[in-house]
Amino acid sequence: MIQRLIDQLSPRVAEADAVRVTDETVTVTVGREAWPAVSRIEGTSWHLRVQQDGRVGLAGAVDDRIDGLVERALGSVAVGSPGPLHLPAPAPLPAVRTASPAAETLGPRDLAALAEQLMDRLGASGRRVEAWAERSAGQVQVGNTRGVLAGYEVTMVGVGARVGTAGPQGACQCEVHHVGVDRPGSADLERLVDEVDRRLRPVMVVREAMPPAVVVGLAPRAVAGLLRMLDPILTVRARGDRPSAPSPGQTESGWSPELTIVDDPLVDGRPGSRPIDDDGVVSRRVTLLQDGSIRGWRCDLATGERLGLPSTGHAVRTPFAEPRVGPSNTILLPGAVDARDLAGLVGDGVLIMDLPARRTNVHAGQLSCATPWAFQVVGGEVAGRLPRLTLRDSLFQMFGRVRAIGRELEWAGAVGAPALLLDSVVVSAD
Amino acid sequence: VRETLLAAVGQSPAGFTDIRFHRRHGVRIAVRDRQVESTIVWQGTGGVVRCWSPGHAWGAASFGDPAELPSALLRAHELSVAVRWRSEHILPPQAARQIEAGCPPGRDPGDLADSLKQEVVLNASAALHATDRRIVESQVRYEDALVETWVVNSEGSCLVEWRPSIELAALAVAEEEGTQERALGSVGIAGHWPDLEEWVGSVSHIAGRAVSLLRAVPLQPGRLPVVLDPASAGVLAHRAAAHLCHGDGGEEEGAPVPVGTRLGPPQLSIGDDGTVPGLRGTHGFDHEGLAPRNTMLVRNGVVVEHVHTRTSAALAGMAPTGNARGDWRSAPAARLTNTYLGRGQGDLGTLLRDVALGLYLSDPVAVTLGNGRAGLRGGYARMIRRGELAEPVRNAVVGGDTFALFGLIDAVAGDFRWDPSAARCSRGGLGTVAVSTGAPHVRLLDAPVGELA
Repeated sequence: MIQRLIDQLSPRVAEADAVRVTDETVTVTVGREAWPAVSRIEGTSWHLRVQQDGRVGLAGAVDDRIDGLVERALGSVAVGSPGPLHLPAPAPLPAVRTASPAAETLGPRDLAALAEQLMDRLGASGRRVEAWAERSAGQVQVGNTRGVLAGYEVTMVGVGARVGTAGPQGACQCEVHHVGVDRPGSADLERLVDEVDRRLRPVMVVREAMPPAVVVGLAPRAVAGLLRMLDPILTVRARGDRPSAPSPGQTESGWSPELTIVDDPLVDGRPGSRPIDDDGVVSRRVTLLQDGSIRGWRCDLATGERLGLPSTGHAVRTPFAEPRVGPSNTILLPGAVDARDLAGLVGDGVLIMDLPARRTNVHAGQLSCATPWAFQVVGGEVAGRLPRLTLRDSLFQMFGRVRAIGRELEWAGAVGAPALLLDSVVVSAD
Repeated sequence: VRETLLAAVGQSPAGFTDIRFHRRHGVRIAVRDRQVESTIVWQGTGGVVRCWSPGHAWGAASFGDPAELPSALLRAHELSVAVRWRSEHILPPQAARQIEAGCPPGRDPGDLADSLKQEVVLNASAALHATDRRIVESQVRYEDALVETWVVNSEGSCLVEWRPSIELAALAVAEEEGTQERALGSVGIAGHWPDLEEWVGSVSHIAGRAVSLLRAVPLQPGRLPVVLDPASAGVLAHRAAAHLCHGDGGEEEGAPVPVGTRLGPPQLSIGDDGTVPGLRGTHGFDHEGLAPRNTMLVRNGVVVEHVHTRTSAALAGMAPTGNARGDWRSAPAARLTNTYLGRGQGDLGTLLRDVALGLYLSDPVAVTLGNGRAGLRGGYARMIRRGELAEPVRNAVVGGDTFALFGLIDAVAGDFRWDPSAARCSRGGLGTVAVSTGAPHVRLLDAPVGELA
């Protein structure tokens, strides 16, 4: 269908490219106190760009009526942005696994069984559990008037739960999930159960004041939150934003030489895995930070052109919005330390199990980020839960005080991270 | 469409069936520094059918075109009964309703030429730059849409509404001697083009705010009496209080705050009213076909009710409140409409009079909520000295424990007004919906300032 669209446009415009995405998602939600639900959502989306007479027009749609899409795109050219439309030439696609035939066949009963299995494993006395399982399957196609015509299949299976307790120390609720191309195995579910057990462990609540700067051990899911906060710093922002060299705050803060961060769309089976981006640029692994030095930023063709850089293959296009630059799979490369006993490595300080990503000042890196999933550690043992711990430090300076990086990589969605041990992190607990 | 939807729902084998169908089209134009950055013209059609029978789960299936509806309906029913649940939940019946609300004459933005829209956006950008030589960057974003929404159900309801909207948001960046400051503003209107032109005519005040902040000194962290302008008070009430009253589960906070919980002092009352004419959150019917209403969430400082969908209301043993909204392919969730903080007495002068040293915070930029804490960032702020508004300050934030923050309210003025900005409410992964907020001036005693929660 995308070829038909390009053929239809070729005689009428100077250049054009399009992305078509199809998706079918089945979701099952169960819970002893919830109303069970099963849904199947299907969709097709288009994003089309055309260039004529030095102006670029965009159109989006969520159906396959391509005649209307073409007319809207041509109509938008008259009021479109001046400038060229940067298109890549065809190139061989790299190998990467983005779909699983077995996952594609998962139906409502299979997903219900998965969700109920997780709910049963988590449903210890006094806990309130709502579990869900979801499978999506679809296809991404990219084409342009320079001859690119490529596509790939996608499947994604997720399972997760929201678990709450109402213990004597107050109500507590956590959410965990696993997602990947394949159906989750027993080990994946057990990892979620283990994480919930550790996060909801019945320990006393600590309300005493913390030292202003402490050793902090971050579990992989918490490191993933920190890496998400780094995304805007390691990404050339949306086209039109002024891409520029990193600010002094970013380069002079002294990132730890132990840190290497890559963006890798060619990892098999992760949510950000893909052989080609939405510009039609073939995917490749990009080193963003190597041994503590910034090596590059994610960019697409348009922003790369403004910077005088080649695209890194990070274009993202959705039907009702202008193109943007986005991450694929972000990975902090593992270190050499056995971090299975993270509390033992911390000694005296704080253990953080999860950290919600917050917006960060991309120039100063100043961070104020609270988490309910922090534990006080004394003598290498968890001594109590800190109901609200706030990191009040510079993201850049925190990454300059790395004491150790774990050797086991774990995935939280499209972020792969090991455990991380940081020195002298400024925190407050209340 | 009507016949197709009614025929489909009439053939449903399920105990209860509802169908929601949307058609929409619109334009987005982004301008930066007097240059068009992008123009996207979009169109979409789609809907969702839900089935439920006693003892079974909800089943939902999407469809792109009404012609696909018979198969989508069968699929939804199959999904509903695909897995047998030990569910005893019952969906209380609702009275049938009929509404046909067309687009008001002359309000469809699709009837206007895209070149006219572009011209207005470029004019706004030029006006920002013309305000002061220190304006070094501007961004103006325009968006319009006409949305047609149908809801039909097996209880006999058949409702349709055409809803136009136009939004314009402007950002100005001022720079001087290495210092950079920004200010932003927006307007959301129901398709009446002259209202937009009038707002663009006064857009230079946004640039003026950015320039005046260049000489502002940073606000020192500490505790001060804080007076919130109506826009700030309204958005704080919406995000930090009303969001705790979603009957189908709070987000960051988990379950909703229980009815009977004291949230603030007796002069604090917060409600959500989907019936106020002309506001962004006002609809003739919600996405389950029910009539919106004025729901008091907090009365005299105490949580008295939650906003509900039919499902969450049934689970809670309460009546639905007409707050169900969803995107065009998913089941609806409880969403806020027009949230307000109720009026008290007096005006801004009354609230300032007793303040020897304090902070006046206005033009809210963002409210953060999480882990029991709320933070409000103002786009503009001035010190209060001896009962008068004084010099502007930067880093204008007020934040702290959510309940404690509302507990600091000591005065609520009577100068209530609805905020005309293009507010959007985001709730977890449920997407955004257009909302309005309204409030009078509000004063907090000894509030934590200068550092976000």
